Amino acid sequence: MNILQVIYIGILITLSYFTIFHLILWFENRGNLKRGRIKDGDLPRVTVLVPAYNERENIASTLENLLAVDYPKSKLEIIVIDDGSKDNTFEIAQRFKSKHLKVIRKRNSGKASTLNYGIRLAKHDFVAVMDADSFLDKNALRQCMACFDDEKVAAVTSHILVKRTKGLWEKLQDIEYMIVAAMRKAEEYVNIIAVTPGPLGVYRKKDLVKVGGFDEKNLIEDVEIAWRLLKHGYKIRMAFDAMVYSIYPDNLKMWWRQRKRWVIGGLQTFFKYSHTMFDRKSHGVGNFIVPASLIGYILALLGTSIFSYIILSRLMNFLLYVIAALAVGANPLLGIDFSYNVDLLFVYGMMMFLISLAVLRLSFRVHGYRPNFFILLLFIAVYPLLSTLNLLISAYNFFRGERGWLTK
Amino acid sequence: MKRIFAQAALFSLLILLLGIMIGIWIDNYRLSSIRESLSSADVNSDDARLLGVYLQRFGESYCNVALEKNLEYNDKIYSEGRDIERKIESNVFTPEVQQEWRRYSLLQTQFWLNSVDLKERCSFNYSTVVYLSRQNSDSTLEEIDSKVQSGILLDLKERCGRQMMLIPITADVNLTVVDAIKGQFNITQYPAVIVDESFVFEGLVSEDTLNELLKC
Repeated sequence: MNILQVIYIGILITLSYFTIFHLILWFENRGNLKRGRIKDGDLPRVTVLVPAYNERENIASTLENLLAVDYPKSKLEIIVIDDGSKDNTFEIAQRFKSKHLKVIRKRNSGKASTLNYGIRLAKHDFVAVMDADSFLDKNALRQCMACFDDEKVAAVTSHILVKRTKGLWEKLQDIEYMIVAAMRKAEEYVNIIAVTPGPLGVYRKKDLVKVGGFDEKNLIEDVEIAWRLLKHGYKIRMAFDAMVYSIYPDNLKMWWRQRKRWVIGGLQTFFKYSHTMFDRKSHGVGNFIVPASLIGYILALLGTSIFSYIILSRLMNFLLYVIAALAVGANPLLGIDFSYNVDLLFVYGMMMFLISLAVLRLSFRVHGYRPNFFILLLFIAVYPLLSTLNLLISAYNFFRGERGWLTK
Repeated sequence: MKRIFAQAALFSLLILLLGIMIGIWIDNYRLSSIRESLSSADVNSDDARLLGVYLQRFGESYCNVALEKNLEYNDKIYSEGRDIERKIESNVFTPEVQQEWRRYSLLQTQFWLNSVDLKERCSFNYSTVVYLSRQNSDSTLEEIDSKVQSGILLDLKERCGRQMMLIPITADVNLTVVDAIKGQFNITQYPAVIVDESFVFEGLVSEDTLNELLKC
């Protein structure tokens, strides 16, 4: 076996380890996926913050949806904060103004800063944060609140799926979000949920304030705040039955920009917390999230390097072969051998593939989803490559100093 | 959490072991398949060789039978040879496969000598083409040249059929007889082609050049 084969097997072992880790957690806890319904009288008061920037296309439908959620209106305060939009988001939002819904306009300062501003205005003990292009199931907020059954629970994330699934990119992301949801739920059981995503996250206000609120310098404040809460020993839960649908990029260009922001923000967060590596006092961040992130970056770099090397060297050899054959007047097709003998790398690769299929099947079954074969094939064969490519290019941009917000 | 980490590690290890066990099973299966192919070729080769010895003692009335046996062997090794080579290259867990590789080279060498002997004794007019290449080359260009040369020779064999005895021999298998051939024909570069024990080509040789020498 050569060094490339050893590295390949090392990558597969690591991937299988993390996949099996999640599968064990899932199967051990699959009976506790959902929580019971809380009576209206026991529901706590919640302030819902809706930061919006240039959201004229979605803000009206988002607010209509929010006003229709199954939560006692007397216990709900909604604050829409227009973050200096250049369009008429503010004017549209104002149409929904009521006793329970405030609309505020401020100068543009970024999402994290807007959220911190909103927290200061929030009257209630719990603060729900939602994106202006997200849509809640009727009982989503109620089910999130059911997860605050322990004083140590500082944040609850929802079950996020893709709202529009007509286009190819949206279909691919739809599959991805189903898998992420199942795996995130599994992570809850060992308190290593590493993100409270923007579409809907609920926080206990006093804990959020105690750890300093959202990091205004970070590009992905929803990841950073989760790491910080975990580091301080708080718990983060996932309300598996709190379905939230969000609008995600419907083309490669927008997808690429969104992922680039996530990667750059992820690296910002990683370096901010890298000192906690294997530090027991940092709880799940030091014990798992930081080491796992590092391993993820290394695997992406190694895997892509090996893959590129193999593809490029084979392409180069093939070109040299064609040139050599043509130089002596031979037909280049004569020496091409299409046969393949199964070896250990193939067998182990197939076993890893089967484990991954088990994760896919589990995610699909939970969501009652019947995949289209073509989309599934693209998701398995192309999507991970694009994601890894994006990771590497974005990481390169990060190390060159790029920190732009990269959105609308 | 520690328990989950340990369980995941254990399952990952089990899957790795299962992968290795399946790998070993496939390698062993392939090894026995190589051995089976070589045993069968061995019998054919011995049969052809002993017919040659028989001819030496009892005259040339068996020339055609001996030729038939030799051709039979060549046809068999021609069709199975590349498959055997591929199987040998794929095996990871069975170092004894290298021994089979040497045995394969010995059979090829024996077949060549037998063909030369038979051609002289019975005045046959087929051509023998010995193709020497290395299994472990550290030069990419040599590997590419070998691949092209192999394709050219297989194409020639297709066209010439029984007028051409194609004998691929692996040059770096540490066999005295193979080293003797390399020494005798002064071969230092690979791939190399020896046509009718007279014409030696080192490096890539074109189909046209070989065509001019072959009697087909």
